Parts: sequence; C-alpha cells; structure tokens
Amino acid sequence: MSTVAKTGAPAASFSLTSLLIVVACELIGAAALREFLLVDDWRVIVGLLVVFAIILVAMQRFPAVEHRIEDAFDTQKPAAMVLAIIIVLGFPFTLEGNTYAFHLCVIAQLYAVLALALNFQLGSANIPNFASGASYGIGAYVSALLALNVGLSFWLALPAAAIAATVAGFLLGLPSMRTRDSYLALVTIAFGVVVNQLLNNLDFTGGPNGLVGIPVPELFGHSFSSPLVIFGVSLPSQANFYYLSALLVAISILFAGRLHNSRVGLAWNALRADELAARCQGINTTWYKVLAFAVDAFLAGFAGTIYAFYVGFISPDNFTFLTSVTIMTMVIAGGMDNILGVIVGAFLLTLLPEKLRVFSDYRILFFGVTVIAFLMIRPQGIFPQRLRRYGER
Amino acid sequence: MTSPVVLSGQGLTMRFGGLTAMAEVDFELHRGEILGIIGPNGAGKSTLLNIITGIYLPSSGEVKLEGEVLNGLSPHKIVGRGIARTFQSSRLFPDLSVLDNVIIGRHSQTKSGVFDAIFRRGRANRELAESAAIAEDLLKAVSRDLFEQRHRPSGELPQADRRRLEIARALASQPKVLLLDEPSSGMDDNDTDALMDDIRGLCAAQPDLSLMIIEHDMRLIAALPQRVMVLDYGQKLADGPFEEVSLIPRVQEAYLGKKAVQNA
Repeated sequence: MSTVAKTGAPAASFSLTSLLIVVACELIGAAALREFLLVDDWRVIVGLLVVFAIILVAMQRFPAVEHRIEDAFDTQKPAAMVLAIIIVLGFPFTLEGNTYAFHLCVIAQLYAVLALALNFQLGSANIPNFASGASYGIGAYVSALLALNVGLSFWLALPAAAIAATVAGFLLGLPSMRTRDSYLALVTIAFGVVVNQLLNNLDFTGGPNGLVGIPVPELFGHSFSSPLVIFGVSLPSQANFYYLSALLVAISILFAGRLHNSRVGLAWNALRADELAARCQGINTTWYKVLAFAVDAFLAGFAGTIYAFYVGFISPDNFTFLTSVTIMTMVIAGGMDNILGVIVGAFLLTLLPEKLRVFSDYRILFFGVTVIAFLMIRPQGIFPQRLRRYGER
Repeated sequence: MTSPVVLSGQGLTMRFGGLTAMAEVDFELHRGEILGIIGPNGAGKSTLLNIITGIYLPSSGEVKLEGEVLNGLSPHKIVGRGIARTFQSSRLFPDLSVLDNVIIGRHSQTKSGVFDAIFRRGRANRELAESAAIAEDLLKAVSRDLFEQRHRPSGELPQADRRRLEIARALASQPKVLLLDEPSSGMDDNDTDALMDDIRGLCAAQPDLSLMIIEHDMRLIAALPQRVMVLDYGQKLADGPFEEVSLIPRVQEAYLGKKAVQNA
C-alpha cells in the first residue's frame, strides 16, 4: 500500500526503542513457552500462569503500555516477522529432544489453525459455528480414506481433503442461511452431531474403531517417522510435523491477515455489527456468510489431514461436539478477530489441561478456573480486536 | 419542475397479513430535487423507504429508477443501482473506525474478493487504498471535524456526528438518490441547523443528487424541500410546496394540534 511509506517517517526516531521492545517481547514469549512446555514442577507452572496473569492485569490497567507495544510492532513489522520466523525455526533446538513437548507443540499448532479458521466466522462475522470439529474430522477422514484405499500420498491427500471439507462447509452454509443467531448455532450443532454419527456408523469409515495404519508422509525420500537431522543435530521424528504444522500456521496467518485487511474482511465485520445496515451498503450478506463457512472448512480440512497423518490413527472420538466447543473457547478467550490473540488462546487451551495433569483429579477444575480468571482480567479476550490502520496517523 | 424523473413509484401497496400499511401510493422524484415526506407515526413513511430500498417487497405496484423496475431486487443490488439510505436510529458499525464505516459504504463500487485479497494483493490493496482516499475526501466534505476523528471507533461519536457519518457512508456508494430517514431525530436545534447546512452544502456540491427526507421537524421541512408529500394511514394525502401542504387541516391537526386548527 502506498500509505505504508508514510508511517515509517514520523516513527523513525523511536525505531531503536521499538526494535528493542519487539525483540524483548518475542524472546520473552518464546522463553516462557519453552519453560512452560518443559517444566514438570507444579509450583513453576502456577508461577508462570501467575506472571502471565500479572502481565495481563498490567496491560488492562495501563493501556498506554499496550499501545506502545502495539506501535512498536506496527513500525517494526519486517523485523518482527523475521525474528518470529527465526524463533519458530530455532525453537525445536531448545526443547532438549523432549518428544512430549514436541507433541504438544504440534497439537497446539493444529488447534491454532482451527481457531484461526473459526475466527473468520465467529470473530470476523459473528457466526456461531459449532461444526468446526466436523470440518476438521471430514478433512482427516477424507485424506485418510484416500491414502488407505487409493494409495494417494499425503501431499495429494492434503488439497483433496481441504476441497472436500470446503464443499461440506458450503453444504452446511447454504441451509444455515435461512436461520440466524441461536438458531444458526443449533443447525451447526446438528451438522456436527450428524457427521460424528455418520463416522461412527458407516462401514467404510471403520465405525467406532476408526481408521488405523495411515501411512507416514514422505518428502524427497525423507520419511516423517525418522528423526530429523539438521546441522548435525538430531531432532525427534515429531519435529517433522512441528515444521509442517508451523508452515500451515504461517499460511493461515497469511490468509487471515490478508482477508482481514481487505474488502472481504470489512464486509464480514459490517455484517457482524449490523446485518441490515450491511445489506444497505451493498453487501450480499448471504454470500459472505457462506464464504465464511467455506474458508473455515478449507483451513480446518488442512489441519485434519495433518492430524490424521501425524497420529496415524483416527476415530470419531477425535471430532466430537466437544472439539468444536474447545475451538470456540480458544477464539473467545484468546480474542475475537485478533490473529495473535486467537493463536495464544489455542496454545493456552491446548497446553493448560496437559500441564495441569500434576493436579490429577482437580485438573479440569483448575483448567476452568484459569480460563475464567483470564477472562475476568481481560473480558474482551487476551488480545482484543483492534481497529484497522491506514498509515498517516 | 423540468428536470427528468429519477425515481418513481406507481400504485405502491404493502399489506402485512390483514393490515394495509400502504395503499396505492404514487410518487415521483426529479433529478436534483429534495422531496420531504411527512405524516404522523404509522403513516407509512418508513414502509415507503423500505419498499424503495428492497427490504420489503410491495404487495403490488412498481418502483422505477430511471425507467428500470426495481421490484424483487435484493437490497444489496439496489444500492449498486444508485439508491443509498440512512436509518432513523443511526445504524453505524460501532466497533469499526469512522473511516472503515465509509470504506464499507463503497462496497458496491469495489470488486476484490477472497482470491484477490490472498493472491492478488497488489490489486486488492490498490483498490482499498483508493477507497480509503475517496472515503477521506467524503469525510472532509461532510465535516472537517469528523475527518479529524476518522481513526476513532464510530460508536464513540456524539449523536450529530453519527448522523453526519451515516450520510457520508451513504454517499460513498455514489448514489443518484439519497434517502434520509428522520435525520434530525434526537438532535437539538443547533445540531439540526448544522444538519440543514450540511444538506444544503451537499446539494450545492452534487446538483444532480436527488434527496428524499422523512422528517418530523417542521423547521427543516419548511426550509429544505422544494416539495412535500404527506402520508396518512398509508395513503397519499397531499403533494406540493410546503406553503400549500401546510394549509391542509389534517396536516395542521397532526403537527400543530386540533386546537390550533379550530382557532384558525
């Protein structure tokens, strides 16, 4: 955009401070995530959560601090992106070969994709879709079936599954257009339940036993089940999927960012605020709603495929109503219509129940209390929706 | 009035079940004209606007824009044909910035879809930047003060500015006809005066734009429109210059009270 050039000039004097803020934020974030992934001691886990809560309280109390950090990231966008990529690429080397930490990272990243996908509907357009778990499942099953029955490789199954999920998203979207709000939510819940029941009862999906023996993907002769050796350092086999899912997260962020800052994102936001007013601005609300369903299903189909090939075994239990609710909670707790917020929400809600295993029987209770506490501190989500910026401020 | 008819309605009738909200109403709006619509509550003023903008499908009758029938077109298509409106209770997008509200108003004039946004970013961004520039010009034209606040959420604006913003948003679709639904509602006299100045300025800047204004404020109705149409119980009671229309007893009754009519 031509306006980008104008933003650089007035902020140039702060650029060093901004750069330092960006670097500090990203490094501290990565270090905290690493610590959280590797630590076993419950006191440290609780300590980290308390520190996070204190930071959120501080951001809520002193909006100026938050704005300063936002400004820093706005003015130092390229640097922030380069550093983020380096951190994501280098992160596996800091995990000390801990396969459990790798596994959590992969799952959290897949959920981040699902949450970003749902964010198109729930966050941008306020469409309560409780069927994202079903799209996830359709992606996983279609790719697994293609691999098992037709012998299709992972790389071909990936787009095929995404297309199948998108078609299913369209099919769900069209009848849903006759309803809205709570009734729309009911239609999507029904769709999710129907898909789950079909997976459970059809013969070719393996019924409740699911599908087993999904082949491991290969790339240029490198099997994803063998350790990944980079610069002489051997990373556990999960690292293959770590990088694959990281790539998918990156693509999702790119999609989400570009759509958000486009005519389409604006149209979604308009129909979120006031559907009638949106129609009177020339927005075909029906089309944009169906479009949100399709985009959501497309990305969820990708995530489902990677999940199926990563775990190698899928069953209907992986794609229940509860999965959809979890994804929805990630979007709401993380921050509607905020890409970073949604990703943080996905990581938090994936990692929390796992790390809170130290509380054994009280795990779920503690999980609920933590999420409620964060929402009490930040009612709009951890990173709330922000106004768009068009240069020349 | 010699200028050509832009918008017209013939025999417009609207029934909701057993209730007839509008019966056989004809109207004409000429290019560059301001038409005022008055009538007591429930007279069918908003129904008429909803029929023109495609929100209601009339039970019978036709709406024509420059000779083309609009009946059956959905509201979003009618905007594209050149009819924009504001709402009685302002319906902005409160969580979006002032500028975004106006950019959204340009939806019917822009084209980028999902594919452009993701893969042809240069094209999509150029279009958006162009929209942003046009939106900024529109805001400047409507009110300098509003332009200065373009990066604020529109929900934070005071009432008068919201109404201005709604007009700017409606103008963003480059309409031939602008429909204003009670623009002065909730405004004090000062704000109404400012609004009237805004509308006069707008008409001076765009002499071809036709306006239809629904109003209760007689000061505005007396000053702005060249012609006033009176609706009552869904029927057209009168149509003419304000000086003539205001002499009709039913109008005086509705707006000045029965006593005033008897004393007159």
